[in-house]
Amino acid sequence: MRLLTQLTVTLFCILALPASAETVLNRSGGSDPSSLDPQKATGNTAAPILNELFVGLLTTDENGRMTYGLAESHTMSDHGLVWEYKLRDGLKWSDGTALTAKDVAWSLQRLMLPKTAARYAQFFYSVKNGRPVNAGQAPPESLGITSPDDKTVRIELSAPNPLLPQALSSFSAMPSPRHKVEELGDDWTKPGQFVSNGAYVLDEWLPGTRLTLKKNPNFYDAQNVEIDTVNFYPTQNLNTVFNRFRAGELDAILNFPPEQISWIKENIPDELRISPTLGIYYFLINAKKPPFDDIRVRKALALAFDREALIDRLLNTGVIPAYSFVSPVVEGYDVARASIADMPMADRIADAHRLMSEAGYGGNNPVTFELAYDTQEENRKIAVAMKSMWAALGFNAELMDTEFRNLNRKARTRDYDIMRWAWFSPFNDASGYLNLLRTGDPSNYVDYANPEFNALMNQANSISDQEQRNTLMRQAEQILMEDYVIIPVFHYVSRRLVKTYIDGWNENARNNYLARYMTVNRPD
Amino acid sequence: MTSYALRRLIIAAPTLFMIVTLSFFMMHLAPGGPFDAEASLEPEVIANLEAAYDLDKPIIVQYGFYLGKVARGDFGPSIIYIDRTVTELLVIGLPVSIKLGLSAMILALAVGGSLGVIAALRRNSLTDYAVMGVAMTGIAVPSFVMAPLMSLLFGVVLKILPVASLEPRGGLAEALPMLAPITPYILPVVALALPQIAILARLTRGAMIETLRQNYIRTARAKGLGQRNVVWTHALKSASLPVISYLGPAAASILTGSVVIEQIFQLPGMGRFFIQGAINRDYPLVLGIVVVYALAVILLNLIVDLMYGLLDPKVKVE
Repeated sequence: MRLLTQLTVTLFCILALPASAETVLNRSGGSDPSSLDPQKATGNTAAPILNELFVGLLTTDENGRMTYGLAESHTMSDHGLVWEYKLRDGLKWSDGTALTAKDVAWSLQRLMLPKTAARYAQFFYSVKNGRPVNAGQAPPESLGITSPDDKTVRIELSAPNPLLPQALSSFSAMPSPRHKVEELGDDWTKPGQFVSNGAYVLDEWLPGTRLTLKKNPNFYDAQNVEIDTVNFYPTQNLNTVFNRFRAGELDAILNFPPEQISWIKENIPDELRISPTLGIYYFLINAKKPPFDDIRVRKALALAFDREALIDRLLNTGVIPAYSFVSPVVEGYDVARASIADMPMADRIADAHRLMSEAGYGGNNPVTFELAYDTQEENRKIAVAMKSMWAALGFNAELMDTEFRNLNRKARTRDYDIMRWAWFSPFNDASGYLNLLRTGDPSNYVDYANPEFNALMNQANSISDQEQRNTLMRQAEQILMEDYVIIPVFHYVSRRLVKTYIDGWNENARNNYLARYMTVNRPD
Repeated sequence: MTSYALRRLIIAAPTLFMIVTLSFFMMHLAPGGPFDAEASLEPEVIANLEAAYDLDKPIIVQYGFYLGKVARGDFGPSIIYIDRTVTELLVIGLPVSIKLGLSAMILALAVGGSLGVIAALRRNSLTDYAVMGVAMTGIAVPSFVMAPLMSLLFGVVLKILPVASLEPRGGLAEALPMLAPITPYILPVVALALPQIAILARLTRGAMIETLRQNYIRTARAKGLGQRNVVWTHALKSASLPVISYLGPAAASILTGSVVIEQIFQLPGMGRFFIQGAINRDYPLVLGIVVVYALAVILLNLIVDLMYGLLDPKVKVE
């Protein structure tokens, strides 16, 4: 009897012990991810989730810099045309199945197949037969991606591509579990069937409510992962996101209503994180349309526009005035600023007046044009400010407020005079911006056609020495900035709120904040 | 009455067909397409994407395909949520929207109706003015102003209800775990019902005052019936007719209101999918939701007409 009592007491003691506290990170995540299939997913909201679930040959470290992922070494030969990646030992999928180079190669091949309909296949068109395979004009076997053995992925290129490592670190190049895809078809991404190879694995997905990831014990670096559970809460309404952060429902949010910045600076300054990103806000000038075919008119527009005044007085959101197309955070690259950047504002205005009268325009002969932007409060403010700054010179800007998809159509069909645009480079490299303005690029909406610029960019795109490339690209940007076909306004910054009890959330230009590098010391 | 209901449902088929047809072509006429982004995709990539969603076919062929699929109850794959079909998204969104809309409707009827009756019985008293004042405010303040304020007050400041989302949080859920599952719905339902409460209170008050002046009410009083009996047995039935006829439009505005409320409270209802779909030109998703919305409005109008027949002996439903 006494034994029984003792046993019962012991049992109660064991049960009463606090269960080892689980570490949870609750973060906001834009809208629901478009897909959890690395090859099919698109957009900004899928990236942070896929980066937790999967790891490719290359990945990013705790500071957002590129580092080895599945691969432990690589070689490059034949003037940058052949790349071989060697995989780590003992790699496994989350269900315990062995992960080999064959899985990685199969996934990259899958990315290029026409029936996958992958948007980011185009980042791999430099791979041998990449474009023809994606167009269905060459057999899949002819693709230059193979796995000679279980530990090697071999990539043959048709032209050198210095951005290949960056493309390989993006989510579209992450491996999909072939054994699951072949068994379940499109349903393999559903919770319960889902298999991944990264630090986390999908536990639950309630669309519109919550997406929960749990630690993957089969991840190669699992012993260094401290957070057990990561919850992504899809939240598009900025006020709601902000209120949820204040109420403690979220530990980290990726944006907040800009008008709250003064309140935040006053009340929760330690939680505010502002850091430059790879985004640029700019205006496109339709330089084919008179009078914008006259460089004097275009330059006058750029001169008379006081970015600093606009940003200080109107925006107050920490963005950086832009005189270059390439973001100043691009690693190892020194941006080429337009020559007008260093002129005092009074001289710039005088110069603008002179150029306009030389071109035959001014108060008596005003230039009337449409200034288009997509419906957003910030865009409207900027357009109104530009209109008034330009009015003094004899420009009569008629504001055109439209929806983003229509603005997009205007850009593609060149149905505009001057319009607002933005670009976030997928690569931490100047070519991520400058390639957009090469003649023939589908995104060259200003039809920029400067042979000198094209030649410099083509040269930079075909060599692998980064220092030499940066020199060439800087020359190209210098030419671009003096042609005034675009008017840079500001470089975007990311505005985050992160609770102070989170360690390891390090701001970086690529916006990669992986939970595997973080710790949470939530006060209770 | 059953045959009337059946006839109405049969007439609904061509209406639905017209709605699907108009929405299909209007959706495709809207500028831009589902694959637009800041940087243009390579032509080969666009061709693959268009082939995957049959968008490479002539529009009339796409329309034929679509009608065929809808007739079989298949709304096709969503373009923005690549892993899911539109039907899967409707299965997620519909229950949330129905719970939200139905609760708001019941709340609006109960509270709005009672307030209206009270105001009518105490006409020109302080109570009447107070109720009508609140009702005017309710009509004047739009829900996209009221909802964030409520969320701020009860979620952030008082911390008794969740700020947003379907997950139970806050003081109330902790104090009364039994009520936890409904806590996420409290603020959205109230926010959605508020403008309708206001309108229904005014409508009920007017109808009640009108009814109380009728001869048969005077007769009832002359017979010596008490106030409660007069109001509940005699006046209310007749006074509820204008209220019932407003239920159709009320349901429609609750439906459209839920689009805003779901966005603010982050509820995974159809309204949120609708907005996402429309902004991103997800043709199948938007069309699927339009069909469900249209069906809901048709059904609700039918129910209102049937109720009218039950309550008003002058109206014969057949």
